[in-house]
Amino acid sequence: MKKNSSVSASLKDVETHYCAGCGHGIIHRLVAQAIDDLGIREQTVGIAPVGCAVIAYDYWNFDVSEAAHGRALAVATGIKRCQPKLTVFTYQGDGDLASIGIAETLHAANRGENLTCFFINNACYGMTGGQMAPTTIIGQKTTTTPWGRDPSAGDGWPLKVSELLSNLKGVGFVARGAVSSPQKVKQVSEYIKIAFTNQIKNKGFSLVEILSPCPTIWRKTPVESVKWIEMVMVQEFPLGIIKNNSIDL
Amino acid sequence: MLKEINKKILMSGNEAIGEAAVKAGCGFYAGYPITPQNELIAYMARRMKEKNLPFVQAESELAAINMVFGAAVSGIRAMTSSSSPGISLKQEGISYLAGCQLPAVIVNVMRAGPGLGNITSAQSDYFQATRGGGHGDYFTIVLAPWSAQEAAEVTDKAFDLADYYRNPVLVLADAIVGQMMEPVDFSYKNKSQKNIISKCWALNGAKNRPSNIIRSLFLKEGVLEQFNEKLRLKRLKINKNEQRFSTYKAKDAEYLIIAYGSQARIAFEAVDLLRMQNINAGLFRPISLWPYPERGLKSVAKKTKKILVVEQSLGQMVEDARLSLPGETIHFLGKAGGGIPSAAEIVRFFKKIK
Amino acid sequence: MDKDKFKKENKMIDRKTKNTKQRATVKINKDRCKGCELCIFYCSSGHLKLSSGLNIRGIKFAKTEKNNACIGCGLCVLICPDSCIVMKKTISRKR
Repeated sequence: MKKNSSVSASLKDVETHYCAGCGHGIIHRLVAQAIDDLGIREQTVGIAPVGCAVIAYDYWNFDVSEAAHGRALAVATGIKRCQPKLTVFTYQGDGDLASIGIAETLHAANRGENLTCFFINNACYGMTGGQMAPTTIIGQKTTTTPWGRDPSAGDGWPLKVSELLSNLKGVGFVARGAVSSPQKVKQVSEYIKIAFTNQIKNKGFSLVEILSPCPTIWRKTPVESVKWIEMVMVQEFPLGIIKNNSIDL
Repeated sequence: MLKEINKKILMSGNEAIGEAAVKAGCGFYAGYPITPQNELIAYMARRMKEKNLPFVQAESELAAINMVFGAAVSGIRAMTSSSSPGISLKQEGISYLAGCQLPAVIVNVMRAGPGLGNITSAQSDYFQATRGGGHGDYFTIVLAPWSAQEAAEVTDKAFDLADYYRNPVLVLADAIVGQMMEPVDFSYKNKSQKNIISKCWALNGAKNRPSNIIRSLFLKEGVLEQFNEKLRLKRLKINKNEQRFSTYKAKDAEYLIIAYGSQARIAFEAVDLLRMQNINAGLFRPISLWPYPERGLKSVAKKTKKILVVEQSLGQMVEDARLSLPGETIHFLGKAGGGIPSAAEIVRFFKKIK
Repeated sequence: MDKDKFKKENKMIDRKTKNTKQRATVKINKDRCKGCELCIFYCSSGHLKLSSGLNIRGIKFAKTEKNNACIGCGLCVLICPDSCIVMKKTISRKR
């Protein structure tokens, strides 16, 4: 990975609308760099989520489609089944992938669709002002859990999507990383590359879950946010490769 | 392996739609089981796989319409089918298709509602079909066949219209049309023109061209308004060019029955029964429900004394008839919840209002 | 949380700027910078700091100290969410 520049062909050289310290800025760059390192820009189609990254297509320089909230993996299935030689990936947040879209996520993974899925986990719904997400930590205060997430009050428990999907036969690669420190950013970049390479080699569904700072909603400074990920989030969402028996399809 | 169908064959309306889609070059199908269109999804499962084309039994009707969105985004002719409750689930996807200006064919084999309702035939999705159905200011072209033959022909037409106008098109059949077994002749295919529409907007990898974006979100001030104006102009063009209808003995008719789909078959028989009693009856049968064939109706209804709309609903298409003929008294015979009027019943009703 | 303890636990090298030989230069696009301070926090040689003045956004931005003591670790480039930082190596490291 080139250290002397962070702008690559697949990343537009423009300012983003993301908050100071938002993980999207880092992860958009990592995805773009992986695409350029693998030389697949001209055969890539991305699917943007509904969430803060809804206009991710303003920052990437390859074909991108919008999708209805949660339906990105269904849209991706349609694109990939029609154009199997393309590299198709989705980029989704907590609500998109794990709440409204959980059925589409589960079944695309279960069918072993040859897709790459990036799950940006910031433990809340950022775009709409900070409601509880499936991944919200117990005790975490959000606008819909003003006294903290409480399972005894019917709020449920944090959903471990990576562990859930790793049980499915059609899923070849699952990894969880974080963009809370430069070392971890480097690790995520490796996971992203594996996830894309697996698709090129037809090795089944690949998921990379990335813990991402959300300073505005968490009411923390960017530095406090990365510390919160390193101290609290990783306890609930352990990092590492969870599954790597990429199956031959 | 099913041989290629090149001559007249006995098949159900559902299967005729499936075969017509395949012949029209449908390159992707996603669906979910629901009565009364299960024959269609089963037919597509076989035919698409025989032709090595993608078929997906999706996890829900919602997932299916979004897979169709993905295929459409790729520039491929795509279709999904369902019945009334499942079409309700698809409304979000249809709105997105219209908002992103994507071609797609959606088949609704109507059943009785509301809610879970019944699996019997009905025509109670007319509003849903012709008033957009989902959120936002958009319309889908709606074609309503009355026979297995016509089901095949309108499906073929639907793909062409979808591509030409970059808009979703709805084929509105009902359970009777879907289930009835009739001879279908696919030779219409030889007569239809093959207009290959280029899809330079499709997402197929940004090779030697700037990257494409498919979106319906326009946050900058004034942009969405401009886009909606574009949709309005498209709507005017479709309204001008795509009104379709058929008539039976309507030229000299003083008494006109308006009906579509399977109900038009019953009205057809009622017209003959009335004529036998020396009543100059005729049938006006809309084939395009959106755009509603108001020009045709206006010209046919010039000399009529009495007009009766027959529908399997509490009164949906009758509103469009009234909008087309302001000042005229339009009578209505409606059967909801799967009830079917007999031809004799229509005759009795007509004579009462005569 | 003590910054030094945190860095130690995360196995980061903390070098004093005075005794470090400059191995690279770092350029930060001050007007694109949103002042998140992540680069300052993770800088190995501690030579990045927040400006006193404001950029075009009205925000204090990250900048290099006057005595540029960059050791070329590239951690700032890795962590910057806004692709503001360009690092250029001045000498090649020989082992």
